Amino acid sequence: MKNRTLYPVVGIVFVILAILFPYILPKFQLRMVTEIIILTLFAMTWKMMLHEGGMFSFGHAAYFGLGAYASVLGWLHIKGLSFMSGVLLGGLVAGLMGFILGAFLVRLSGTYFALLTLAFNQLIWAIVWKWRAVTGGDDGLGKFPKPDLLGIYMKAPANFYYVSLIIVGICLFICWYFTQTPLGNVVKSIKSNEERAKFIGFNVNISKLILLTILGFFAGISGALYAQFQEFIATSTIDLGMSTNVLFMAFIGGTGYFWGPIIGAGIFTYLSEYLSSFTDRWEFIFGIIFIIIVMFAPQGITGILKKKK
Amino acid sequence: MAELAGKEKNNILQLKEIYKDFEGLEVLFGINLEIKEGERHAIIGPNGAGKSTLFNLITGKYLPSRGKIFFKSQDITGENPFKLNRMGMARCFQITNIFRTMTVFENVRNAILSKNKIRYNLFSRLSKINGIAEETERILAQIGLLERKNEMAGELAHGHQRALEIGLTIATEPELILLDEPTAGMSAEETREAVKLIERVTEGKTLVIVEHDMEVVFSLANRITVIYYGQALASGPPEEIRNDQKVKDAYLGEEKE
Amino acid sequence: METFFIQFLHGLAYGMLLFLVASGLTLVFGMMSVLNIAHASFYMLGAYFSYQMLKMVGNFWIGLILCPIIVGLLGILMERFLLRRVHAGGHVQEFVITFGILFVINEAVKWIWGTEPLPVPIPPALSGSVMIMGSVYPAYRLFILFFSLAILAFMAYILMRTRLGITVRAAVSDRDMVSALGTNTPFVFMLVMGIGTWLAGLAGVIAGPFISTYPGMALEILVDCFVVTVTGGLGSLLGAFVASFLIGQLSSFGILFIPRLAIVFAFLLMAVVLIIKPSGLFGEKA
Repeated sequence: MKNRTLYPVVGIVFVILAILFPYILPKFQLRMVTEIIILTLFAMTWKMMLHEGGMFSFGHAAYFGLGAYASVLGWLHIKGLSFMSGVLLGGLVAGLMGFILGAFLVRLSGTYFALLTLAFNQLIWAIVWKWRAVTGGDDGLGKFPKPDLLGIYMKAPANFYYVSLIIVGICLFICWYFTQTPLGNVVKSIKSNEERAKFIGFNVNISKLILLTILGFFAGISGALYAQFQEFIATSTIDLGMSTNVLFMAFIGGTGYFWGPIIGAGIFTYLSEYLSSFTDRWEFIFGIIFIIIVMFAPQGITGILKKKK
Repeated sequence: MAELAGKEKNNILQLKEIYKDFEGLEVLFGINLEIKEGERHAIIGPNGAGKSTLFNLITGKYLPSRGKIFFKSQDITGENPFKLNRMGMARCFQITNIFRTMTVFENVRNAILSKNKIRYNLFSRLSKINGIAEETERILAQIGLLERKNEMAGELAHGHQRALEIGLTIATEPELILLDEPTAGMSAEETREAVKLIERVTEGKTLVIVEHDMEVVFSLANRITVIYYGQALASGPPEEIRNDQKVKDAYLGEEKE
Repeated sequence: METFFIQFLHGLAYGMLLFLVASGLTLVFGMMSVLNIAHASFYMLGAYFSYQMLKMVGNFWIGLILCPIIVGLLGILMERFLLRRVHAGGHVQEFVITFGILFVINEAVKWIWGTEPLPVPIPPALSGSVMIMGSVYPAYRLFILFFSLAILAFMAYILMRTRLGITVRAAVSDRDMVSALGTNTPFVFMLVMGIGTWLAGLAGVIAGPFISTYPGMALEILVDCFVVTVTGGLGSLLGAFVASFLIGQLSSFGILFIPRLAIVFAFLLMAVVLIIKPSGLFGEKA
């Protein structure tokens, strides 16, 4: 019963903090928080694929990266492309890819599904890597415009922070809303018992395909935002390493909870920042921590927090 | 063979020369079956005779090795299960196949939503769609699970799970209802309740039921087909089957539950 | 014509190497129903251990015998202390932890040996060439081919003809049944894992002189391995064999015709197979 009153209070505190962050946090910390917000959306789409859709993806960076590349290429080559249009372009391209790849993926389940996502990610990465003329290959793409949004100067960290917060907030809301819709319910019932869902009259493949397309779209949005945040993208934005990162975020946070992704993104960002500052081999340590969490806290940090209550 | 003769067109379900083998293991040999609309048709036979396989063929889970299946005069051989459900056919499973991680209410609601063609709706809030909750509760009342509507389906007692299984089957308002051993694992009392339930919910519809319990068969069915090791041994009204010598020799003598 | 045959041999050599790795993966999958992603890192460990042993001892053949055994033991340790613990948590948890292990081993390798490729010299006995159909063909590649076939024949013999092998095959196809029959299943598990990783380590040792050792090799063999297992059908050794052969040929000829995107061919094959038969060429319906 303590939970009931605790949640709204915590929520309000966070909202107030969120509004005040640019004023109370040093620039570096504000950047970290902005990064966490963007990565939360990315992690949320992965978590939903697994927890809501029952689908385990090894290649989620494909959508994130495509969103980044599509939006950057848009800003570079389409004169006057606005901030939001670029972000939406990223989302749409990623969503389209989600649809195309999804058409192959929905017929599979479990291990096959995971392997095929890995293969697709590798394929897309290889194409991006080789197509230097367009993507810059290993060298990546930088120096792309950061247009004002509705007259707001986006190069100011505080402005960028607020805009990201609002965009991600809206996307997260839509993700939550999805779970309340009939299609969200179909997806839930497919995860509960796919065979029965079929025999009750649900077209399982189409339902999963729609989910994959939507999640691809939002992953692409986060990729586009990430591109503007970094002001630089390279193959590391679309490779298996990035797919690994989102997996880490989701599991560390806890894939069974709605707020898992934000906790996971937060821990991931802070931990990698902290660890890399005192050792080159931070990724190794990170991997060990990950294994420990999977073994001893499979519900993630959120799971531990919930138990303590 | 692929066409329906004149009077066959009146049958709601027609199986013509159905053969099924699973990589060498032959299960069904030349089954012909006619189900008329409104019939209560029981399929009986010893275990392993192929009854569930027959169901799986009819409902699209498997593809027959040979032969054709017609539903309402349309060739549905090998059609997808979800399409068949939308065409008006529904089945229950011998091994309970409910949505264990959802509540009883949510289970039946799934079927109601499907029936109302609310499948890809991304814009409305599920809880606010008119009439769904009422329709769901009506079915829940019919199957006697209204008080348990908020319980987790996976935690129900076996008998209640079977009732839910039947509920899921009839909630989409199918014209043809296929029940695969609905009273499996039930006590005598539960079985009696189940028979009453089945009578209630299948009124006016066509019922095809696979059963081992002869009491259930004789109280529900007005036509019986005996499947014996992959072949249809006999088919006719209960009295005829009761007195059929072939059937007596092969089956009814041993199988009295 | 000679070029064709030479390419065919190239493809065969790589295909056999691939099958050595994929067969271990398939065996373990068949038994555990979980795909051990870390398998690819054992291949890599085999290569790196062999490099290290060569530096320390100077003899390739000692490495060929010892390193795979060390790798096999590591595999057993992994099964015993990590995988077994998460087995109760379900497939997703087991799957994820193998992924974590792959990641950690990858990073450990980079830490110890650095990120640059390390050349592994071909053993003197095999450094010559052989004349085949008028062309000069590296002896080492032939060695890869024949050695792999010998190992596979040996494995096939053990699996088909010995009691141990039959137990393993039974455990792989139906482990609950085997357990009910009183076989010490945990022991068989460890054994199968040990054999599987031993095979991967062996493949790694052989691959060293062929493609040198570098941190990315785990990932590359991983993708190819997965293409093989998916195309061949999860859990089917025959399928893995056929698919490895096909992938080997496709890589070999693909590089000849479209060098820049040879990787595409493997994917195309996999995509085509999956569309026609979603459970793979020889797989069972999941």
